[in-house]
Amino acid sequence: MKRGRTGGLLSLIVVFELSAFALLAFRNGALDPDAFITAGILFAVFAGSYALLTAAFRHLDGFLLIIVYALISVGMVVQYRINPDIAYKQLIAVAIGVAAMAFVMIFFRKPERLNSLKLCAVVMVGAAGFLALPLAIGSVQGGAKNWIDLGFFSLQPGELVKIALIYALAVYLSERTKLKKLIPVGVFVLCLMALLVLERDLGAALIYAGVIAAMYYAATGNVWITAAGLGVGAGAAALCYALFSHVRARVAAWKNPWSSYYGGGYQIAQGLMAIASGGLFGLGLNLGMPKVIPAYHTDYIFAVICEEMGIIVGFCVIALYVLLLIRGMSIALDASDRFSALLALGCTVYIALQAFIILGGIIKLIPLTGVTLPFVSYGGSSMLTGLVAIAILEVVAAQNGRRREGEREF
Amino acid sequence: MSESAYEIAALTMRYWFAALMVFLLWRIVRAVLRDYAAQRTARKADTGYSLGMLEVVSPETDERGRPHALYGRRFALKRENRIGRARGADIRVTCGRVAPYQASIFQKGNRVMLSDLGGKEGVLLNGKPLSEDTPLIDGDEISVGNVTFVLHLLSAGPAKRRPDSPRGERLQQSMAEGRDGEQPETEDSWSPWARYAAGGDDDGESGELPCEPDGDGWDDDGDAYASAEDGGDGIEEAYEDEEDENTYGSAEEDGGAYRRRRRWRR
Repeated sequence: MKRGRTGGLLSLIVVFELSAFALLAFRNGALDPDAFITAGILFAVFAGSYALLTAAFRHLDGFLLIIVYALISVGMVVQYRINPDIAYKQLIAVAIGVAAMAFVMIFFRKPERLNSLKLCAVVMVGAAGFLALPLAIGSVQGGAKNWIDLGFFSLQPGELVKIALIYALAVYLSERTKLKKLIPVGVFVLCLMALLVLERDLGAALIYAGVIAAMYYAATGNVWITAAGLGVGAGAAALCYALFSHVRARVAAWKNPWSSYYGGGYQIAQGLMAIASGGLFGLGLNLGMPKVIPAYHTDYIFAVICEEMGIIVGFCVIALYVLLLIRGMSIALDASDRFSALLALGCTVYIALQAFIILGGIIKLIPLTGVTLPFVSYGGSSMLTGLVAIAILEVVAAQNGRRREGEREF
Repeated sequence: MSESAYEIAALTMRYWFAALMVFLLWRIVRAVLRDYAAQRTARKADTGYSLGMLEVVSPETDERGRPHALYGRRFALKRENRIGRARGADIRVTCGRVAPYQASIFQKGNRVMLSDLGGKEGVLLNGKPLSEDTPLIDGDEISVGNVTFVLHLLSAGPAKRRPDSPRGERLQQSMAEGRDGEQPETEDSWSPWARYAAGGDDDGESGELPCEPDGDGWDDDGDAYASAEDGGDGIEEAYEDEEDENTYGSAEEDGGAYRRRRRWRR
């Protein structure tokens, strides 16, 4: 079956991106050529990768790429509006991420080949070591010691290790469902969680726990063990609440941000005010005051989008994540073998859960946990991880398409 | 451009952005829905596809001697079929000791493969436990729990036949007994070892078969075993189990090899 054509949708994204950058080019009274250059490079990255991948894969899921490119363009526009310098850095991250995505898709066409315990053992040891690095040489940002500063850029191992976690769980759960045989991956998972708690990266720990629970449930269908695991997770969350003062402050700020407006509730209150002041259509690009919100370009970028571009665009961003979730789940359901299905499910759950955690935190649906909004927030590690996850989904989608066509090549 | 002119431009453009994003979203949703409809059509077309079927040949009778409910039933094979106790299994086998998903029959390339998912030697292919994924051919016998299926493939199957298939053993048996004339002409061209057997070289496998366990203590763990053997003349014998009066129908028509079937504890 031929996939639906999505090239027209890409041109819509390009129109959006070019018109937004053209508007931003005039904001300081004089023409700013850098805006056009940024828009041009972004356009080249999108169009080039789209053309390359559609040529290389007959069964490419174009919708995933379109959704991701739409999210990236919204993020780039807002970042350029906030500060051109971080937009340039983000542009480099997008280019690296798209290149990594194309690399993964072209060189790992057959996911079954990666389904080996030996490779999995190497990945598990490497990932645990990588995640432990910030404890030794990391730097502290926002109460969490989860960064490695490499001079010209900083790296967040907690992001990249998500892919390793999904891979290890898929390898183990695809063939084994008995708890006794899952001990190696269980030890690995517990190590990761312990490291994340030591680094105080509780947002990532929450995402890891969600991915583990979803993949375990999907692989075994065992309601009781999954429920017990979620219960243990809830217990651990309660323990974190008792242990860490900043968790208590977050929950208090969630209950009533206005009571501690000048303290812990400031960020949530500012975010809510930004969303409210934007209204349906927003204040207009460059006419709002996003810089009063802490973490305006990373975690709180959704509030900036709502303030300047309006709740309608904000709603579209949420809807794009929902569509991503639907497409990812349908790819996972379609997959021909358990390993691919679990890989696709893990990647989908990771992106959707991370988006839910931060969007829910911003609109005061759940207590705020500082994670990035995938593909939109500023952050190279987050962008790279998200695009590699999309690459895995695309590989599985391409395999599904080949199987449906009845090609004998796998 | 002056500041007020920029303000007017930005205030106007926000409607454009909102309209563009909503239009984009609508186009994506519409395309996704169309794609989903096309996939469903493709899936419906896919359900007409069948590799072949499995036919239950054993057990013939239940414990009261009446015809067994499963006997003679036929199951169409899809591209991937899981056999087991679970409700989600494509072919449910609930009698005997069967894992929730005990076996899988699936298409791989142009071959049809059998895989043991339970991993406890609970699947027998032509009476032998499965050690790895094995390609199947037409006429293979697959036992799960105490149910035995015969595979009927629609496609030609692999070019190479395995010597240990029942058809092969049947042929070997009959040839060893000197009944060459009864063999159809079409079947004697494919098998070099059949000529080997016809050459009268008795490999000790055909003819004389032990019918008692060799006493190496396999009853120690309380498992009961039934051994089935017939002399290649197609007689089927039923063995009564003293413990709980289960009937074993041995549908092995080939009789080429001594085979024992392990019964799984309930």
